Amino acid sequence: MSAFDATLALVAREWLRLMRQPARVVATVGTPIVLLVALGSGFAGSISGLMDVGDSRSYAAFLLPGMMAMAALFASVFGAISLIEDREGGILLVLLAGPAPSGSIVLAKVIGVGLPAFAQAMLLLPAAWILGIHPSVPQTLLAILATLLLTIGIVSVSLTLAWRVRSTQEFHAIMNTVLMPMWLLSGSFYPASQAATAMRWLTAVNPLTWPVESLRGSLAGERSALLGASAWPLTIAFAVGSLLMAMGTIGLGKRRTSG
Amino acid sequence: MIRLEAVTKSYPNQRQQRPALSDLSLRIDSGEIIAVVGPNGAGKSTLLGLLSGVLKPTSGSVSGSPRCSVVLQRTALDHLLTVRENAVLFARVYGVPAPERGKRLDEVAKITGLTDRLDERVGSLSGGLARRADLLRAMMVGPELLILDEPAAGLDRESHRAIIDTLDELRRSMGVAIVLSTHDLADAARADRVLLLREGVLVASGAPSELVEGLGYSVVLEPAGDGGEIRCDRDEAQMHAAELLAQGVSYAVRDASLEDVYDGLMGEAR
Repeated sequence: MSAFDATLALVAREWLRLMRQPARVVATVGTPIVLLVALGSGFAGSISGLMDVGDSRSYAAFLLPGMMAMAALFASVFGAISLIEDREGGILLVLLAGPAPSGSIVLAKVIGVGLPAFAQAMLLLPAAWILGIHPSVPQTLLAILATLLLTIGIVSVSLTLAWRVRSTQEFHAIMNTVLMPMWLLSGSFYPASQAATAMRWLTAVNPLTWPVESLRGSLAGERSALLGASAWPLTIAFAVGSLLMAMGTIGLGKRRTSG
Repeated sequence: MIRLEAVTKSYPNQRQQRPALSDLSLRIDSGEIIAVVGPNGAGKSTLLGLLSGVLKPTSGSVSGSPRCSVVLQRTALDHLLTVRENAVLFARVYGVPAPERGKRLDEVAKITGLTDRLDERVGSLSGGLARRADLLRAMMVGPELLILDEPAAGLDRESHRAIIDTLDELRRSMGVAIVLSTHDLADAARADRVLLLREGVLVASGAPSELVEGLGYSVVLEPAGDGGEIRCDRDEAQMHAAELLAQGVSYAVRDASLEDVYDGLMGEAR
């Protein structure tokens, strides 16, 4: 009960932090919306038929899952920076010195950062109807599940990377060299199944591609053209594997925090 | 309450050859205030880490596991949250039952002088108030042992005094044992016991008055000019003073203090 209450308290803290930094929400959701509108309408006449919604808005519809991934990514990055601040400020040391299992503290951080990230990605989902995709109820539920798994994976990866670096500046460098390329190579902007062979492989082995493909497939009611039936198992593996990696890395953090 | 027996702590990848802490034995009882002093790198933070359970000894043993709470040099609070929100957050993480939280918050807020500031965000508080808020946070978990790493470092005189007075009051009213590391020997002199560490070794420990008595002199005369000192008993002081006056040398006189103990012991290492 105590570990559960500790987890709830830490999750509530992340929500409070988010509510007191409205600029974070604007930055997280605003950028994908701007990209969605700018790229979607800008390329509307030259790229079409990528997602079968029967009108010229199809490129924007194709972009939507990638933009939802971007919203989750940005929110995760902000949350991961708070982990660095917690460590540098000593909050994490005080938490880890307490009786709550270190695993529950990591889990709380994943949930605390992940829930707002998930919510912010979900804010973009209604655009599916605006863009003419009109997913059915089961498709929508699957899309929500894919977004949830995407968020768990990306939050866990961000937190693990944040734990490994020494400063927020170093984390920004990691973001530019690891996280942004992961997102750019996730097939968010291009149909990977039609890309050159090398790019197709690069996209297929990128873990962020897996949930993006599952999300796109769910919305369209189709199997992933790039990954086929493997998309969902890979998506689940990404979420579970990343979560275990974060718990393993940060859960052993007592030594690192104090040493 | 907690006992360290022949504890040695080494860190992997440590640059220096010697352990951070060597063969240290120590016992801490309820309601004691213990000051840990020594230069940077003496092993103070390592000792605090061992007492809090965050560090494990390389050899030796730590017995007893009092409920402890830690206050670091940095304010370990979320600056976006209010004092009350921070206090409740840490109390929940440390498993303090809901009915106890409000009562304890009122009690500790009164001692720390923060009753009227509970709903202010930590980020809007001055350095001294934020440090007191951190003390409040630490006391919310109802510790038997409170561990503080230079709790008054970097504060102005008034805030500094307020923190040290608050520690006295916490011990008096709540019976908590307090271990603090400090570079301020005036703070250390107010403790029940002082531990002097040098290069990971405990070189002296005892009540401040005992340590000063162990110096072998009780008065220090400081003649103007050459900066030298005459250390002597109170009886001899008048004679030395008369000699200085006969030579036309003015002087200052002061009681021997913990500073002399520190300088004497640390000077041996220089």
